[in-house]
Amino acid sequence: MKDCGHITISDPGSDKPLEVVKTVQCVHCGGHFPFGPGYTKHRGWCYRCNGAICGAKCLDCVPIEQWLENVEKGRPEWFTPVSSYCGLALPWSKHVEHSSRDSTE
Amino acid sequence: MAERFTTWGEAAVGTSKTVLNIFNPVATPLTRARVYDISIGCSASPADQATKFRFARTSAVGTEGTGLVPENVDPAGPAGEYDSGYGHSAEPTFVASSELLVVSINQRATFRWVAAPESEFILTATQNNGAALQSVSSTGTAIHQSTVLFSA
Repeated sequence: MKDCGHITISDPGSDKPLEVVKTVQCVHCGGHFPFGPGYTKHRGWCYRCNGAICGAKCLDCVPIEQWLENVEKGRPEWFTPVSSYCGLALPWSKHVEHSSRDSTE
Repeated sequence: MAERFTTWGEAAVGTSKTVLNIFNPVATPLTRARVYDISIGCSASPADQATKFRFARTSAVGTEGTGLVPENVDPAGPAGEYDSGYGHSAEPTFVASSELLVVSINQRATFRWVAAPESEFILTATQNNGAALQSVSSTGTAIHQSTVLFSA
């Protein structure tokens, strides 16, 4: 798995770092979490983005770039455009309320 | 090319105490900050107290006690869009479930996180949005300091 960062924890009583652990970045929220032996919290993997996710809160596939754009453009945070069979980007997703989706249709 | 900036803040830790908030005060921002280095330490006498910190996204700045314009690492470089503050009397508004990094450390320890290139925390280019380092809970009340480096 790609090494996305490092955490170093040092102590004044030690002549070397107490711990150096690599971190992995969530492809959905952009957050980092420590990864390696001893870290037993369940994480996840998005097969659409082909990357690690930090847990249950990031199960819905909204890639970080899409999320940033949603916030900057005032869209619902979990908006994801969906492609139709003819390749058009349709302005709704399962995350948008049904009422607004129906009106768009 | 993006400029690199550094800023710092401090706070007596406890429940929901912001150590440092970085935000973009510009009405129509043009840049996204990329946070790539966070360090946390404590200037108080060494003691066995533990604090849980989170670095999470914010959508409003709250009321800061001290404002600090991030310093461009390049002395000849231009000022950036971003601003920072600490010593909050009213906490910034945190975006729900937006923790970018969560860590618990002993007061004796010094913590540093560094991102690999292209794996930084990217902040939205939206007015008064940003990210803040906050102590979620603590067994003590010692003043902790934090330095954050970012590019924008």
